[in-house]
Amino acid sequence: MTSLFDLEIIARMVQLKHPLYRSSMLFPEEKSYAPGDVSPLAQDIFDLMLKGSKKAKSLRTEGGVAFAQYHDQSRQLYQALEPYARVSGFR
Amino acid sequence: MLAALADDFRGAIKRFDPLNTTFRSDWSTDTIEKVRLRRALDLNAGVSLQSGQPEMRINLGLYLALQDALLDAFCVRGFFVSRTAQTDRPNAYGVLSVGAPSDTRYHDYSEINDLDGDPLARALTRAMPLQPIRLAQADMLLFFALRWVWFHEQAHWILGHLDYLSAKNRLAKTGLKEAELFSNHSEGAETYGEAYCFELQADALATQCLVAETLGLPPADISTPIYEYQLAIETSGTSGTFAPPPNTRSTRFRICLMAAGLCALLFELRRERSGLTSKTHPPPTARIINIALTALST
Repeated sequence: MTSLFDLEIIARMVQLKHPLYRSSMLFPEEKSYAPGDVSPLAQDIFDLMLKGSKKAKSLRTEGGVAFAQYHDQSRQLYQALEPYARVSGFR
Repeated sequence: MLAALADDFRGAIKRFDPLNTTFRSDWSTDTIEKVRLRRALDLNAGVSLQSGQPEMRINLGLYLALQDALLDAFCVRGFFVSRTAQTDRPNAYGVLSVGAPSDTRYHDYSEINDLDGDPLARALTRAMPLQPIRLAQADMLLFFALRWVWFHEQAHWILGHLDYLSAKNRLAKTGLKEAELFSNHSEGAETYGEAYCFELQADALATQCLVAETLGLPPADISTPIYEYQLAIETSGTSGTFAPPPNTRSTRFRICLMAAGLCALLFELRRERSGLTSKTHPPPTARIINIALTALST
C-alpha cells in the first residue's frame, strides 16, 4: 500500500510542522528514521490493508471515527446529532 | 490567465453531481445545491447557512494548492507507484512558485495579486519537467481530491452539523470552514470534542462516497480523468509499476486514499501557517488513519 508513503512525501514536501504529526505514531521522527519506515501501529494498518478488510471493520467505531479515544465522546454526540441528520444508517 | 484558471476550476466543479445517484436514491437526502466558487487565493472551503439554506464555498486557492502540491510531488520518481526514498526527489522542479521560495506555498497564493501584468504567467517561473503520463496521473488525483472536498462539505450538511450548531446558537456567520476556527464558541473541551468528531465524521462519509463512486466508475466513462489516464497509458506505451492501470480496485483505492489524505494534510498546513494549530480540528494522523480505515470498510 503506497498511499500512506506517498502522503508522507507530501507532508515532508510541504513542511508540515504539526507536533502531533512530526512525532506521531504514523511517521515517527527518529534518528534511525528512513523514508518509508513506519510505526507498529501504522504497520498494523498496512497489514490489515493487505489481509483484507474483515479485521479492519472491527476497528471502526461509531460515526466512522476510527480512534478509540473518540469513541465515548462521539457516541454521545451522534445521539445528539440524530434529530438533525438528513441521512440515517451512517454510523 | 488567472481568469482562465478560474474557468478551469469552475468547469471541473460543474462536472460534479451533488451526490452519486445511487446515494441519493438510497438515502433520499437533500444536498447542497448552492455552490460559490470564490476567487480568493488562500486554501479554504466551507459550508454555511444563508437564510436557512446551505451554501458551499470553495476557494480558487484550494485548486491552486492541490495542483501545485501534486505536480511537485509527481516529480518524485516513485511517487504514486512505489515506495521511494525522499532523496529521489529533485528539489529544482517547482511548478507554481510565486517569486522567491515562500512560507505560503501550497496554501496561500495571494501574492499573485501583487504581481504586475499577467500575474499568473509571471508566477509560473519554471519549466514543467513532467512526462505526459505523470501529468495525467496528477490531473486524475486533482479531480478526485476536489471531489473529496466536495463530498466532505456535503457531509457537514447531510450529517446535520450545521443545524446542530445553529440550534445551539453556536454556528458562526461564516459557517464551518476547513482552515479556520470551527464555530463562534470554540472554548472548552466539549466543543473541541464536537469539532473533532464533526470533522472525522465528515471525512468518513466523504471517503465512503468517494470510494464507492470511484470503484464503480467504468474506465470508458469519458467524463472522468480515469479515462484520460487510461488514454495516456495507451498513448505512451507505458505499463506496469510506472503506470498502474486505473481499472483495478487497488489503483482506485490508492487514488481515493491519496486524494483524501492530501486534502487533510493541506488543510492542516493552512491552519498551521495561520497560527490555528488549535484543537478545533483533529490532527492529520488521526484524519488519515480514520480515512484509511473507513475506506477499508466501505
